[in-house]
Amino acid sequence: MRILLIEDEHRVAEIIASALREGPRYAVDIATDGRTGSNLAQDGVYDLIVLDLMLPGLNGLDVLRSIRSRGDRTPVLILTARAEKESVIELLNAGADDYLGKPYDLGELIARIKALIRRGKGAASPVFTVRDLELNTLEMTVKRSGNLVDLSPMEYRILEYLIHNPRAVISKQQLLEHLYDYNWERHSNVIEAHISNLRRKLNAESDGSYIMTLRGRGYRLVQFKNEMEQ
Amino acid sequence: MRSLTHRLVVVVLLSELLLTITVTAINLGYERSQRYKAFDVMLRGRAASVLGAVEVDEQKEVPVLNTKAIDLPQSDRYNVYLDSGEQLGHSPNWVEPPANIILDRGQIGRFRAEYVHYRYITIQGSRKLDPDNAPSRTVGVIVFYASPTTSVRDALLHAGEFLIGANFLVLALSALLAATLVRRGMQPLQQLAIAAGSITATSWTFDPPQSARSLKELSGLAHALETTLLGLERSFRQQQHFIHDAAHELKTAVTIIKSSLQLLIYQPRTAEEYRAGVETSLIDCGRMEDLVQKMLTLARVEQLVTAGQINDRPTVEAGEAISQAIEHLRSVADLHSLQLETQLADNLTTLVSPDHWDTLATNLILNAIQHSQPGGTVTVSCQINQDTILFTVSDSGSGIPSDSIPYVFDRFYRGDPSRARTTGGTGLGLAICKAIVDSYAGKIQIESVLGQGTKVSVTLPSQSRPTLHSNGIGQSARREGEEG
Repeated sequence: MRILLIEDEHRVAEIIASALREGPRYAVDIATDGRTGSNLAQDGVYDLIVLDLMLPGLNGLDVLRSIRSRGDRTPVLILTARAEKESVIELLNAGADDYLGKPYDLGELIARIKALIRRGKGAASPVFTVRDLELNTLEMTVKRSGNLVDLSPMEYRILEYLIHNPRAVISKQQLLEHLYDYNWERHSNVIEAHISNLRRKLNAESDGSYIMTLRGRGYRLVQFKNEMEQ
Repeated sequence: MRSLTHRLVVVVLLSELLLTITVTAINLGYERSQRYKAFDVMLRGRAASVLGAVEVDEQKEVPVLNTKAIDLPQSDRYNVYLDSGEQLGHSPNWVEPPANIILDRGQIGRFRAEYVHYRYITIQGSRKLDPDNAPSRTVGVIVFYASPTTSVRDALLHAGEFLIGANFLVLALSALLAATLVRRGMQPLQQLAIAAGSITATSWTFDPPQSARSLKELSGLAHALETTLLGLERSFRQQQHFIHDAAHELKTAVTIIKSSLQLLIYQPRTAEEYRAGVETSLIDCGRMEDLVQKMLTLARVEQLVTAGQINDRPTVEAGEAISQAIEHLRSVADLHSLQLETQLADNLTTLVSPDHWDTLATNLILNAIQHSQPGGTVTVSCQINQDTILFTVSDSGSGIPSDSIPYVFDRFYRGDPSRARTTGGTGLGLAICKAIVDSYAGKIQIESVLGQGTKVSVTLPSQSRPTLHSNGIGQSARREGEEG
């Protein structure tokens, strides 16, 4: 998952980014003013946008409106120091999905971000099940038939992303965009290596593959056992 | 509660009562004198008719009183006697009047007998005893005539009763009228009170009713209320704005400290990581401390302006405070590899307190240092010019974009957030400087060329001026859409 954090207060941005990278292992990009934030949001590679309301240049509400006016459906969580009802109503009406007042609880912020991403992908439960595979986004664990599968952080993130988009074909480019922030050098063969490791670990007792390769197009989650044969 | 209406009505009533009493008394006095005048005429007439009843017995040549010829009220008393003192006759009810009565001829007097008031008259006549002879003998006849004044007194009493009754009826009616009129006259005052009473902290609109505006007595009050409320509203809004801004800044500061500590305990870490985290939090705490300190300073300086006690300040030497501030900042300038040049005039007398000089100089010089690139120069100059002091701080730094200049003195305004971040600016330094300068009715200006540098000029009075006016401080004109 990749998050865009639009926050002008350097320390606040730093802390939220660290928490998101350390906790749910999300990729995080930081924009320190509204205009940069709005431009980055246009790339459409983000799974969620955290937006501070008071920003230099273009304020948070303007950024939100420009995002929504483009038809972008990325979940947006607003951070605000204002708690007046009117402003909350205005924000939600302008297309915000959630808001959190300062000073917020870091744990709550992360939980809300996770929930918004989940909801954005059409899921309600933090535990995803595909056949005998169980991915718990709270504990960040993967179990196969009840047995823990030991995945590296990047392998987990790839599987998490595929499971969050169960019916879609995900290209390597897409994976790169959603799993790495701008601070990383990105090579598509890194993805290939991770996928191959992931497959190996998941199919340790070989019971049909969970990840289907569509040549030249990308990857897709295999939801039913007999899907591969068809 | 005492009522102005009641008081006015009572005053009107009292004056009317006084008037009524006076009018009644005058009326009664006049009535009385008229009635007694008529009574006296009647008294004289009756006495004369008694005198007329004195006849002369031609055979005996002596005067006699022909009582048959007298037809007078029985309550009247008379006594007829000769000037020799011999009594000729009297009324049946005659008694000697009290001894102190002086029986002067033609005089009218009064006495009281048997609880009845009498008025009396004494008249004199003469009778010829032998009218046929000449010269004839004459004898003097004196008539003492008294009549009870009961009827006059009764009439006066009735007149008095009528007058008092009528007057008090008029009094009652006019009191009613006065009360109604006064109450109606007080209505604009009540309307004004209602308009003033509808003012609350959230709704400051005060529209004095036209009825109050058009009254000479109330227009002044309405106007005074209007002006006072405008001033109060402005200062209330300013304070609200400040509180709003301060709350935002403090919330952000608390958020940083709280969430950085939460991040620290998010997962197990090594001792070094914990140490580094705590150290960062300490730096964040220091920043918050600085923010709180500056907010207090600003609030204190702004208080000074409202107190308006500038002229009471003693004239002090400014040079020392400025050079001390410069010396304190020399190490900071060295740290930034900056040249700190000073051009200070001698004998810098000023009204500005040393504390304020220190705050002003420190804030402005620190600003210049923070906005300069290494290798640059910061120039501090202080010159005296007639009755003003010109204090300037120039830097060779990055400058301020011209569209930001109108806002640099606003509280919590940070022209370039990325720069404020690295220097840990609170956005209050220049607002404090402006508040100090305003409190001395001075001027602060900023000129800047992007990429070349910035110059802040402060003009302050060096001695007392006859009149000082301060024009309100604390720009509340934050940029639109910067709320958050």
